[in-house]
Amino acid sequence: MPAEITRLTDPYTGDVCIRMQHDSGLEIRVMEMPGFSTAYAEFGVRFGAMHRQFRNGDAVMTLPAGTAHYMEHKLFEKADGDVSGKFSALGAADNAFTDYDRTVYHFHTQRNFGEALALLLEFVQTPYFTQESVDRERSIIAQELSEALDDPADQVICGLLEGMYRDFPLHPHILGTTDSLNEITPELLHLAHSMFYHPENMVLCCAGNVQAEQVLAIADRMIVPRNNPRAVAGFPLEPLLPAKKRVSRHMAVGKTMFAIGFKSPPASGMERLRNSLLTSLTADLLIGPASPLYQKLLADGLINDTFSTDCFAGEGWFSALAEGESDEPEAVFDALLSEIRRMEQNGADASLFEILKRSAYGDTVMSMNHPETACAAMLDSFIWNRISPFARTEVLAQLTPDDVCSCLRERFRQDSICLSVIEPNPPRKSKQKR
Amino acid sequence: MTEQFAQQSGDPQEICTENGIRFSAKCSPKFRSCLLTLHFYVQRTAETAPVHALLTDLLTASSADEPDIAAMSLRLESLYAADFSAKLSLFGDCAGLIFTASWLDDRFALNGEAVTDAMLELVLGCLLRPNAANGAFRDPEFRICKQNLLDDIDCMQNDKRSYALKQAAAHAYCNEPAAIPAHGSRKYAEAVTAEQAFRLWQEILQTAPVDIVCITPEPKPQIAEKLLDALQSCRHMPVQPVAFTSPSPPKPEPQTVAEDVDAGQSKLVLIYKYRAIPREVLAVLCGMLGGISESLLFTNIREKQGLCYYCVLQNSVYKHALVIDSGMDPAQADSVRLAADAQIGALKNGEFTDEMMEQAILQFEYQAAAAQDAPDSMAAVEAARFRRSDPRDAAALADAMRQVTRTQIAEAAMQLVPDTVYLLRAAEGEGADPDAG
Repeated sequence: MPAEITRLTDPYTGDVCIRMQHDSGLEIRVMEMPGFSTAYAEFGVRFGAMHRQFRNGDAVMTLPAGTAHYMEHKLFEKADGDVSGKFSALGAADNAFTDYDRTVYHFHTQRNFGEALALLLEFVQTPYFTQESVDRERSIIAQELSEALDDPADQVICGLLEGMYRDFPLHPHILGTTDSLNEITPELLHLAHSMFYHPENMVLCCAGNVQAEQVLAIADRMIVPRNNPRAVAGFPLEPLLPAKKRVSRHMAVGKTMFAIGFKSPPASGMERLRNSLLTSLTADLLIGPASPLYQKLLADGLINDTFSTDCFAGEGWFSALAEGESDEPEAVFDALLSEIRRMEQNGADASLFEILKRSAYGDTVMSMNHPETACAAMLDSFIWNRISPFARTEVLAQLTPDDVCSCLRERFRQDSICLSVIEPNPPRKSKQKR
Repeated sequence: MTEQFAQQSGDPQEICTENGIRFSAKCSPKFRSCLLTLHFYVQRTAETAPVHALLTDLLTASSADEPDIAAMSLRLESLYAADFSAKLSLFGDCAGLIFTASWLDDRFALNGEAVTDAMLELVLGCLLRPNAANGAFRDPEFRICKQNLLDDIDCMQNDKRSYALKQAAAHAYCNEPAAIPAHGSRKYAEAVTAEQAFRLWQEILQTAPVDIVCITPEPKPQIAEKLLDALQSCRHMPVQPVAFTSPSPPKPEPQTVAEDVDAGQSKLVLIYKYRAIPREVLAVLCGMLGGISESLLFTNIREKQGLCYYCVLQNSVYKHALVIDSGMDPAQADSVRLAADAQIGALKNGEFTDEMMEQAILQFEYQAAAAQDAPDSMAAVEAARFRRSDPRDAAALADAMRQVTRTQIAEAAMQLVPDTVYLLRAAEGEGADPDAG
């Protein structure tokens, strides 16, 4: 039975997240959503592409790049076949994804929620890694990697991360490299599973047509307590400044693609949430679609409608991003730097700031109105140091235009910038045969 | 407000006007946002295709009231992250200019603003009072949107998977309007003028069949009233009907086309055509072939043989064609093609289980239920119902799927004729040369 049950309530919408701390160490988060006919469940682990080093007793272990993603693929396979068939038979659809800081297994269904949830908990906790199946998976993952390497949108960001981070494991690719895939063995997967897939390092989130009591009862039955300690991951110290100022490569693209990154010190928990919201607002003030600079760059033909900004942050990294297509990425880069200097001197437009805050509030309220996105918000907030899924609107309400000035100084420093560019291949003749 | 438009209860509301406008409103109190979609259906030619694509961007980027992109963005941000956007979708040989507005329900506005009324004004302003003067769209917005379109066309090959699908369609539906890419060709896009675009939009407003779907948490009768009044006031010419279903004739012999691209992974698209398969039979067949988790394509080609990374199925329902799309190591392309043919063969020979048939039905039922849990998918289902002549709802179709026999599946698979094999062949060359500085 759980040691502690907390009810977190969103003051703006009345949404309730029931947070339960299970005896095993697993955290369970449930949002019962009246009126919805489907349910969504996510079983997440703080084990992603960046978890490459960890302490195992006195030894420091290093995992090949791509281990977390390889594990994600292999957990679906069991002695009696692929677990997806069992979800299908229940009328549920399952899948999974791996990110830098997490791996998440999920399903959605309209019926048999309890059976599907039990299946989810069982298959993620029960590794079955044979040499034959691990070897067979290698060619499939190599193909997935090949597809990612062909994707210029993916590669422009990979290039940026390589340029910005010297040591922190945000590269190579989440999927690993052709060489690192060859180093992954069943033994390594077993070791990583026993150390990271530990209830204390995991979260279960359910939303939609679900009952917290039912979720808890199934967790009680299915969660396997662990005697071994969970992994303590280690990370290299990362310099404050980017490793490179510019990274470029050629690919088969129709127009030059670029990404600009501003590297800044990482933050944790509520401080990361506050800084992420503030950085997103500041980026929108500088060069978002409602800003004068955005309109000018469009009118001058320097950007097109693919341009966007983002805040990319996690445990150990923090950066503001701007990306798009342009024949003159350096001109966009220069214009952005000029606008930062101008805003540092003149301050932020207070009226636009309030409008952008209101927009972020609306976005948050609407995004929590679906089982899948509600689940994702609960899981995100767990990964971000177990904060409330409703903290976003509260933090947002406290931000002021003066905060933008400090954000510009801390998060948009001119010595912390890296530019990644994908340029079109030189022209060559297209061959077509019938 | 006229009584005709009154929607006081949460019951669905449906209105069909004499001049080609159909309106459907549905309410679900679980939602916190409202969604409005307007589908304008048009016939396509090589000349008009890029204009249609351009109009979706032009009409949502600015209006007479919000005269530039920044002003429009500011207005939408001020309405709590409201969105007004559009896309061009192909339905067989015709296209739909689909405008979608979504916004936070008034109950959640922090200062009691009437967001719904403001969005309704914004949508009507964009469609009926565009950013135009003297019979032409204004610059610089026209120039910006045209450049966006040209960039989209130039960058078509950036996403190799969708490029392969477009190229395969161009070959499979050769000499049919469906062969024209959604954005049209660069040649015709370059030639589009601000006057031509404005003229075509006025024509569409007057003559295109229009389907409108509105999803709200509670009845909002003002939406039907204002929209229908405003749109009907533009209808002074006969409606130009469109035919969604336009089966593509199979080629006498399957056509094989290969194109080289500088990449690591090849893309293979296989198109099979059929004469006529009942909807419920096709739904079960597609589920087993490529829809369910343990589909024939995924299980046998990817999981058991490890021939490719993905192998998925699309049903081009209006063209009577099934499309299999796959990404693989260049050396495996022939093996994937043979393996895909073998899965069709398995259906013809009845080599599938009753459990697979049941899973296909369960998956269909889940998708139907899930569609009712999100305003956008609820609206998409409603718009598809308008386009289809089949009046059955999801429950009736699921019942019909349960009556489908193994023989019907095998007979339907017999109809699948290989038509087009398109290979985007990876040939890694001078690309991918990291050059850090």
